[in-house]
Amino acid sequence: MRPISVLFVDDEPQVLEGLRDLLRPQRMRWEMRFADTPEAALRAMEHHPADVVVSDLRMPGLKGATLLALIEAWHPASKRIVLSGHVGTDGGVRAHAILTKPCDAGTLVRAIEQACEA
Amino acid sequence: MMQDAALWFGVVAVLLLVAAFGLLHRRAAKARARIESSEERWRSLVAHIPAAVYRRAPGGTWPMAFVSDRMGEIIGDAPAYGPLVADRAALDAQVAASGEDGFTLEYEIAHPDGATRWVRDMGQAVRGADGAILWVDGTISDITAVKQMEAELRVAQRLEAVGQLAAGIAHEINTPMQFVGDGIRFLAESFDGLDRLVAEYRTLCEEAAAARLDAPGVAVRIEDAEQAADLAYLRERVPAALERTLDGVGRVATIVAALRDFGRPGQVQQEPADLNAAIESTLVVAQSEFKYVADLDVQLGGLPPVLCNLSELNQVFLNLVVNAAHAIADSGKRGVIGIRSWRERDAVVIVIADTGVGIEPGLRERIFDPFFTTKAVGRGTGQGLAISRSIVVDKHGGSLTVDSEVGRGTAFTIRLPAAASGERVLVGDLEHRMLDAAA
Repeated sequence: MRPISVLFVDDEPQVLEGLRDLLRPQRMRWEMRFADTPEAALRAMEHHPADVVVSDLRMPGLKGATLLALIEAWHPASKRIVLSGHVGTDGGVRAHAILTKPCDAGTLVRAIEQACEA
Repeated sequence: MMQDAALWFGVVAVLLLVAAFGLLHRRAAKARARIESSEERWRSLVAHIPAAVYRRAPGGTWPMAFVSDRMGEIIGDAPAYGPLVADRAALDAQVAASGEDGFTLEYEIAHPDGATRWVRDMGQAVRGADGAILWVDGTISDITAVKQMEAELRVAQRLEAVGQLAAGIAHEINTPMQFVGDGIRFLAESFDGLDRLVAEYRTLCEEAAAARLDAPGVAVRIEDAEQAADLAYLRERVPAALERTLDGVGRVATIVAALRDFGRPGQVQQEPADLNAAIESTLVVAQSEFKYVADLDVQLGGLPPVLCNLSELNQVFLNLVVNAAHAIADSGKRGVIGIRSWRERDAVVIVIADTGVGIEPGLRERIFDPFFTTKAVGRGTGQGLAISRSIVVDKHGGSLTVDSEVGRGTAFTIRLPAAASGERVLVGDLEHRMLDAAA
């Protein structure tokens, strides 16, 4: 089985580092990439679209909601998951799952796997 | 014949005199009635005005030469008129400086019933031809209820300001909570892996001691066990995860500590406080409002401790920083919030400036009006600047001024008198003496 490709987007490098360590046990099944700006995420998608994008909402520059909308338009096959510390969404966010920080590993892994199956 | 004529003349004269006296008497009675009714009108007017009316004699403690009955209701004890003015120097200065418009003073008085009341003293100096003050006429009204409502409004606005930040603060806390949780989970799993590795090492040691192992076999098994435990990765990443986790906990603690400074609702007394630390706290609490739109340029100079109500001044700083962030967000481009503090001879000065949209000249007069706002519903109720000015000016005797240029930005300057500075007696007076000696 081809590994699932997952792209994580968050403006906090520490969140990405934490996810990298946390999801280390998934390394045989998932190919994981990390982007600390929405722009870097779009470049990564251009280069090699991910099966699942997990993104924060509040980031400087391009807003998370805009990033997800662009990914939906340009890479409709990619599944989108929100992982944000923001309580509630700002509205207008279309995603396969919306997770609130802090989110435990089990919930995150299940959400990514379910998004892939959807 | 002559006698008759004289008699008639006399009678007529008497009659005329009587008539004249009668007329005069009636006129006098009328005038008296008019005066009486006029006096009654004035008395009634003075008694019913919802304020005490006074006339003060000049000099000394400005003794009351006349007071209306209502004075007793307001200040309680009639003989206590003398020390009515809390700050005589202030009254002296106000009266001396007052022109056609008179003066207005607000101060607290101790009512005989034990309560503290706030009064508004509005007066007008009446001057003689030589310009000397003959007396001061004015009114005293009880504004205790208004003062209480103002205090409640200030607290309500503080809660509103922090409440509007709540979502942002939750985000600021949830982000470190995410990587703290991830870090702890990773460390727990790492420990499990290392524990299994150590167990394998021990087994190998025991087997080696029993001389049942050949060296190449040991090397291979150690290699396998270390790979199973992901040892190389753990040795590289565990220290960083520990550091990150501690950092995240520190970030949450900083936010909570800063919030605590804003919470204190009941601080009534003014206490010496470090305003630079208060500004830092404000920036922690408000960071989610500005960090996506602005960079900070903060240069805080040495300030003496300032005698103040810190949670109220925090509220002022918060209002100004959040306004700065909104002004920059409205400009559509990333900007800078510049904050400076320094000490002047007899003042502490704090400037909070932004590179936002600026304020139209026509609106600058109105921004301090209560409930005036240009913000969209949900971004502010227009009380922030009105209450900020009330806190700085009325409660701390300072000034809050604005300087703005449309398209360039806005700067608010808070100036607090050194009279509100705890160090004044020590340093201020010493400075004065040194300057006097030098002169």
